[in-house]
Amino acid sequence: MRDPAVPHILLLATGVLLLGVAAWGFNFVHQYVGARVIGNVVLKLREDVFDATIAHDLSFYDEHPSGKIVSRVTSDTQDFSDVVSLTVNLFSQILLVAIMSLWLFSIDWRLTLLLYGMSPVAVIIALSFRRIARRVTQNARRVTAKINAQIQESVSGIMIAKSFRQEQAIYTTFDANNRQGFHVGIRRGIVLNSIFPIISIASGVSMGALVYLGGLATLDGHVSPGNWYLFMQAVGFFWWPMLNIASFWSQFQDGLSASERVFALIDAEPKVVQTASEPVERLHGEIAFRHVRLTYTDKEIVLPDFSLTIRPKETVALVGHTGAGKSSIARLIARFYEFQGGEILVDGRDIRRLDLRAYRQHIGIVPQEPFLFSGTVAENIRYGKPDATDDDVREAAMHIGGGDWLADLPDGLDTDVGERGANLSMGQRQLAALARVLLKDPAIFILDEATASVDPFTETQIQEGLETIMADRTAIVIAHRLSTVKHADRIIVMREGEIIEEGTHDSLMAQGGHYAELYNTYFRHQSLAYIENARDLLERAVQ
Amino acid sequence: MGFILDGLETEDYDRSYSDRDLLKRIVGYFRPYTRQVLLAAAMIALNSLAGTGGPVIISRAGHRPARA
Repeated sequence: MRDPAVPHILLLATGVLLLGVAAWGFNFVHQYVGARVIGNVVLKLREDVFDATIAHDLSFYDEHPSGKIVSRVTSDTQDFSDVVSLTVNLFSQILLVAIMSLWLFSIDWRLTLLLYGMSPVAVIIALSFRRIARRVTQNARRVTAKINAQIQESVSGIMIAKSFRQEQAIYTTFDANNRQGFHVGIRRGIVLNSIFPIISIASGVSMGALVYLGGLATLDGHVSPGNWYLFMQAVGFFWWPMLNIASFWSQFQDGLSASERVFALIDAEPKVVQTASEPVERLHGEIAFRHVRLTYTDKEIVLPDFSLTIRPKETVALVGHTGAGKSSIARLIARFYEFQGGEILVDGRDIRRLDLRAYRQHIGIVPQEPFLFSGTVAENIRYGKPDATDDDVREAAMHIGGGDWLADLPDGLDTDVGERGANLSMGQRQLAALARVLLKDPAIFILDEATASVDPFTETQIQEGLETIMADRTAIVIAHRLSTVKHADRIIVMREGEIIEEGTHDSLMAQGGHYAELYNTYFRHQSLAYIENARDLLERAVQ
Repeated sequence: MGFILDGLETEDYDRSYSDRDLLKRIVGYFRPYTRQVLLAAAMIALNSLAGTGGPVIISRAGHRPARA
């Protein structure tokens, strides 16, 4: 005869199976939806932090290594997603504790209350780890950022390292940082992983107490032996999620450390702050410095009291020894740095009140070492005016040195420039940068002339390009070439942040002052007369 | 031990946030996805119920009166 309990057992087995399948289904949906939400949140966070990063002024990038900034934008935002995963896990653990609590209450409310009385111990232990957990996780992130910064710098400067045979030196530095990362990571692991065993000890003590007190209650008849046994079986299901919750807060600190670093970068206050956002139409190009004071630090006063007026479409050459303040003036015009006193007026308007993006639309800059982005020559020329047509790009390129430089490129305008323009020569990069500015057609042109020499033919092309660009706009040139200086409408001679002489080349040479000294030091060897004189001397010596 | 923390100073723009402020800000990023979050939460709850249901059922079945 069939045992009547068999159908019940079958029903039980079916119920457990269905519950298992259902749990799988619910978990799948939870994981799928959760992954999409977390992905979208990390995406938005990265957008916010990158947006904030590129909005910072140049002084921010001078003071902070780019590798550390990159680490926050990439690694820390990714680790932020761990915060979310932990939070989701916490929620499920809390639910489990709630469900287990109901079950335990249904078995025996007295023992359940006793269990609750011991639970806070685990929570207190976990909370006490909070501060140290935050500290060790912060240090782990900082060392990761430090390693990233050093790697980035080493790779960027690998040519210099190889030319000076310093590969071992940069490896030694990397090794030291890597080992530091190892030790910091070990400390982090020890702290975070010691939380669980310590809380487990507390739960073990609690279980022992329950066995003892529960046993006494059973002997006294307050609790039936069956219920006591059932309770002890069930309490294990209660403690596991409870341990997870208790240890959660300290592990959560790792994710909060990442969040803290990301939000700090987003919230970092820029030093260049506009007081208004006035629209900027076409500029005439008049620039006036009035008693401008500029300091980079409390001790480094670059411009103590600088005043200068540049007329529209005037070409002004700034000359002086290194550290005279020439580059700082160019950067102030572009609003890359904040000045601490005086005012700068553009077409009579306070530069601080202008809409910065609109204002910079009218500024064209070619730095000492022109920077090209990965892509083609055409894409780089189009960089300042994305809506330019192919014909516009070609026309700009042709106006620079007659366009002859394009014939030297393997694919003309479609030539891939490589990372930072590595596939082009210095001269070709300069020509591409000049074409980029010409296409943009700015009212104000700022040139920090390259000190590196190029071949005479390229030099001629560059000069022609400069003349084309400077013909119809205000130009501020930090000059290193004699030809540039000679063609300037006015030469401003600077020393220690002050104007000591100004005039044309001939008038300043006639004065015989600082400019004449600079000429003999820097420029004379570039002059045709000097070259011809040197050639005569050489010929006489040979004879 | 000093070497371990060499060069790990904070940046000048770093600042300390309270856990509450951080959580408030993090929650803000999830606000546009409230419905999906609630759906995920519901799935977690149902998963927890289904997961704990098995031991509860087995435990209850194990305490049925024995066959006479």
